[in-house]
Amino acid sequence: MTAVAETLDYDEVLDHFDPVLGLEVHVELNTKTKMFCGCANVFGGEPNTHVCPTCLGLPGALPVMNARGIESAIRIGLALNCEIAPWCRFARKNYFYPDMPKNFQTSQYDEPIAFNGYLDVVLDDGEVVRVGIERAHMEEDTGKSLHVGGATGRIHGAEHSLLDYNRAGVPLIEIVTKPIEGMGHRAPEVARAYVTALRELMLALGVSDVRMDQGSMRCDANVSLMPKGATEFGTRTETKNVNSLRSVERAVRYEMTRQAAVLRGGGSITQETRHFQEADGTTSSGRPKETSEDYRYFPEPDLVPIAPSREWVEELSGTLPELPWQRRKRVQQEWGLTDEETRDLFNTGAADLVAATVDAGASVSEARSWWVQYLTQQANTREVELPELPITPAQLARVIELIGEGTLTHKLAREVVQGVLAGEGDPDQVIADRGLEVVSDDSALLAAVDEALAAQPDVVDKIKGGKVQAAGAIVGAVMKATKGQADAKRVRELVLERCQ
Amino acid sequence: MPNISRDEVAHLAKLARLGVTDEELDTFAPQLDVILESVAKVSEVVGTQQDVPPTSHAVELTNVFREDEVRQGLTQEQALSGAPAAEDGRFRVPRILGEEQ
Repeated sequence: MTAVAETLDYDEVLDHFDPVLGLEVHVELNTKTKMFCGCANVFGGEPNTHVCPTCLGLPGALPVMNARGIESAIRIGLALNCEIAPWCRFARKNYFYPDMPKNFQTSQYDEPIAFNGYLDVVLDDGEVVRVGIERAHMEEDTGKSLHVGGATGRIHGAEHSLLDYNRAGVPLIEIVTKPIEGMGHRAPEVARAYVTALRELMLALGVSDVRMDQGSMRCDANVSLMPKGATEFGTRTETKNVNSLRSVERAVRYEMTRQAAVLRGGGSITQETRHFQEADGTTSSGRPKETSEDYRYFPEPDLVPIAPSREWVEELSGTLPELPWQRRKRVQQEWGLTDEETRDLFNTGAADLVAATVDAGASVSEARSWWVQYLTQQANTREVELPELPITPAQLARVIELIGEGTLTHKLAREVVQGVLAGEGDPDQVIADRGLEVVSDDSALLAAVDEALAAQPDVVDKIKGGKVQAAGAIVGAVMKATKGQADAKRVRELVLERCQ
Repeated sequence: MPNISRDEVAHLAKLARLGVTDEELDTFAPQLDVILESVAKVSEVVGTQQDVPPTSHAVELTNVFREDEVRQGLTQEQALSGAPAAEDGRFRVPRILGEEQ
């Protein structure tokens, strides 16, 4: 090993280099069946129970294209503002590896179904960056390998491997960006924001469940650096195994600092595949990248070309739902939100929940405040996504209604929500069981007020002398005595009445 | 004129994960060359006619699709019945050399 530092300080990287990114995202379609055969497309399952002669690559079996798969590919292309090829084909990508039982992957090469589009991406501060889309092409997923005998289930040191082909042949769309340049220090953030936006888009289209943890959305990040002011791209690396939105940002950032250290140390970057290590956020060297010539692509002779008619494409264009950025704009206008409020609403993933709470009768501002602030905190504490919190919009709307009626103070309302989250039932149930209703019975309050007044005669004198603000001490004592279940405003009124 | 070199044949053998001896390379390279030359004759027939596009399918068909409906495939037992080795419902293969693809 040389004495060169493994990574360079991030700010220093940017003093010397401009990063260039290229992101390749694979999305598994949620069709009922695989791309070229009628086997069920489901996650998991007993090994080799969703297989047939076609996806096992047995001799004589012939593939037939899944109409729904083609349709989804075209809809994705349209949503990414791409041109749709009037005529294109599948190609064979030849390589020998046990996860591809046919010894080739059916993919698309120089004739992708969709090309030359863009996706507008909103960064954390609301700035919009347009990411160019080079192409979106169709291909099939591989089987899953299990390496046996190695210490960590990795391929190194394994004695043999076991193959499950349930996933082989599942339809995939690979979406490739054009080079993303000129982002400077924001490059890692742009990478995360792009994948986030793409994920939201797939959800809106309903074409994939895009679960990064289950591999139905996977990202490969190509990163290179060029000296500041240069126009020619540097040598790139391709980091794989990036399995969460946060990891996308971390992986890009790490590669930038690693490559900068190599280049500043006088070295050169090896064009290779690297693996992201989730545990420490680093990348490690994989295989040298095969050149595309080595894959010996050629048109797949077992499938006929795809020629989507103009009418079909237009019809599919009509099926596109309201897309995430359109919805953002509409919601902002309808609810009269500022840019910042809109950003928080969508970044916390609260938009649907707020809308449902409003539908259940709550005001936008109350609903928004609960979901974006208090409940988002609760979700973070519990390390779950907001929609997974065990409270429904209808339940929250009821809590908000009770606040409006004066039955609950905000403080009590939080306790009620805690009760609902703890599985104690509906808000009314929690209020009954925990005895949380605001004490609004004046006679009960008066007893507590009189007691507090008797305990602090000096304060009473002050109030009688005109120092109305001294009443706070009495109110505080009453609130304490009633364990916060009194309406502080009413208590104050009663204190002042008593001291007249 | 095709003229496939010994090195190219060795490279292709490596990509195909085939062990080929030096003697075999000496035999195969000229044989493959004969095959390629024969195929190249087809291009000669086309000659200067630039309007003949490369064809990947014998029949001029497009858009042959199937509905997205599940069809019963093989059972695990059937799927593994032709496998030289199986374990835990999976196909068992020898140690994989090199990196994950």
